[in-house]
Amino acid sequence: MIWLSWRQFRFPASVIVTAAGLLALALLAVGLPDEALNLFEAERTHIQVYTIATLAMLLLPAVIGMFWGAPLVARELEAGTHRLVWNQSVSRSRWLATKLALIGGAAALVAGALGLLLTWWAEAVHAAQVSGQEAQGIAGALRMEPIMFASRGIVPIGYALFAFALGVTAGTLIRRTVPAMAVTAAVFALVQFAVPPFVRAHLGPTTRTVTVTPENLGGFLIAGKGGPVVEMRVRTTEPGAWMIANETVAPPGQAGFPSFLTSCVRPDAKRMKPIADPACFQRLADLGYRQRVVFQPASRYWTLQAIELAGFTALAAGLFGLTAFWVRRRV
Amino acid sequence: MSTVLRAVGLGKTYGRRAALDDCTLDIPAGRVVGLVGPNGAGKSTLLNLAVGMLAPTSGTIEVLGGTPPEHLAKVGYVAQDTPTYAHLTVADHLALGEHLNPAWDADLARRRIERLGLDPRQRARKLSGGQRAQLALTLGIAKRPELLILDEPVASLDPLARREFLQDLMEAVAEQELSVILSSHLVSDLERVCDHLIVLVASRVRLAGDLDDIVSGHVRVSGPRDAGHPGELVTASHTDVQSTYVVRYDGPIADPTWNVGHLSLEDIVLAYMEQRREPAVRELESVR
Repeated sequence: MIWLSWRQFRFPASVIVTAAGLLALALLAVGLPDEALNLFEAERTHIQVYTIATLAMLLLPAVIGMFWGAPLVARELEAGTHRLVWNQSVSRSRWLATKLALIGGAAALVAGALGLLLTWWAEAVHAAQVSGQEAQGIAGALRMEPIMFASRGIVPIGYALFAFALGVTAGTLIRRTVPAMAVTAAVFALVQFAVPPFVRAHLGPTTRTVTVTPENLGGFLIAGKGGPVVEMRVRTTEPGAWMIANETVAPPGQAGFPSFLTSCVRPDAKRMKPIADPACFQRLADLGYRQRVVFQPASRYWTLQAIELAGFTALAAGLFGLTAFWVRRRV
Repeated sequence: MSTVLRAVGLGKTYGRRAALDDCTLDIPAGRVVGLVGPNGAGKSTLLNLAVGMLAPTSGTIEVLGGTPPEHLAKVGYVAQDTPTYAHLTVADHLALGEHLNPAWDADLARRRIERLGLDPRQRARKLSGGQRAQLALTLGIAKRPELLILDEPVASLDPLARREFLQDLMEAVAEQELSVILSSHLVSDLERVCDHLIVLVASRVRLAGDLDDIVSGHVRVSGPRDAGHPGELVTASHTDVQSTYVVRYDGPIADPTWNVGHLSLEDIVLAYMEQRREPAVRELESVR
């Protein structure tokens, strides 16, 4: 059974493994970024390779699900070859189990190896971000931020297993390869976007209510030039955290911000940085205005990674079970 | 004599449509059994139930004493349209058989492929329909099953390839002493190779028995209109003055009013197939 699984899998395997190998090679060839990396002035190649690798890691599970998962059962059903292979001396349960173990194992291995490689490689990028550097695009996104979270660490293993299982299940239920691939991609993308706000945000975040000071002020959103303040944000004291909510709590009976708030901050043309008036903010605090922040601190990065890895592995196991039932009873 | 396949009240429905209905069968071991019926009669359904590709909705089926697919290793199956892996080579298919079947007869498989003149490096995609059928048959035979089931194996072959395939099958059967069940919608395919026949029409078994008994047990009688008939009626046709019946009857017919004719196997099977289009049959049966 292993022979046949490998014989059928070796082509799709070689395509994705080669692509993954090239990516790893690119990371290694460019070399680890300097520890004192300056994101803004960093070497272009480093930032480019980092961006490409991150995007590739976000796509990898979907690609595995579409090209390794979806055809696994669907192609047999489409070509009618299930009637050949399920009538050898190996039961179809064993046939499925062998394939799932072999290809699922390969998916976990590829995603895991690349995920950890990128984690190791991107350590300097992470350090630069935590030290307060800012940059455009992916290079400026914290690893705790919603979509970035899935691109490295150990969680790609879970995502890859889940996407693979999703593909196999879709292929088994739909019985056609191409529609199953489309469904896999769509459902996986949906899950990828839904998990941060609906799941990760609720996995024991830290909530704090603070008074706004010139030190922790993050910024205003002003309606028109010199108009009233619509929104105010603060910065967390903990660098690298994922800010989930950042909202102003007005005192009872008050709606919106007091009109004096607009003048609390004046632009300073010389220093290219606004100047905030401490007395002004004290007045705001005395009125009872507070800022409520909800965030996942950077220190919970690996805890959340482990939770999500476990969650997605369990989901994959559930889908494998459903597929096994369906293959045995319903096909 | 032992039984290779026993079905009791076996039925399979898809939604509200019955593909096979109340099928009760006993197929003795050591026979080459032909399963004949028009397209859509339920032949494939019955065979798929026998190998466990389908589960029955009612009744039971036992193959080699177990519920399919319990004896997977003992039952060879060549599915309809003889599926093969298009991108795998002939040699790959043999390796597949070898890795997936403990009782695999590698020698037999290699000899067959050689004799058939198949190039081991050829991909299955590039084989002709006949060659593909032969490859599928090789997989089925080299598995060394006790029972070989073939679902319309020759349906897509030209007459020459058809004959070659069946001849080849018979040689293998003679060498290995296996029981065979094969289906076809053509009696002529089966007549040459089978010694037992099952006629399946409109999802019901109409006739089952040894070929010789079937041929000797049916006659065509004609006589004056509506004068009745001997034996069990299969079909009837009438002109103004005369009635012609195909009946199941193997005694002597002495009555001189009857004109007795012999029937070929094909005539008999066709008579059973016609039954479903003859609304008057039930009425006449009750008169009998």
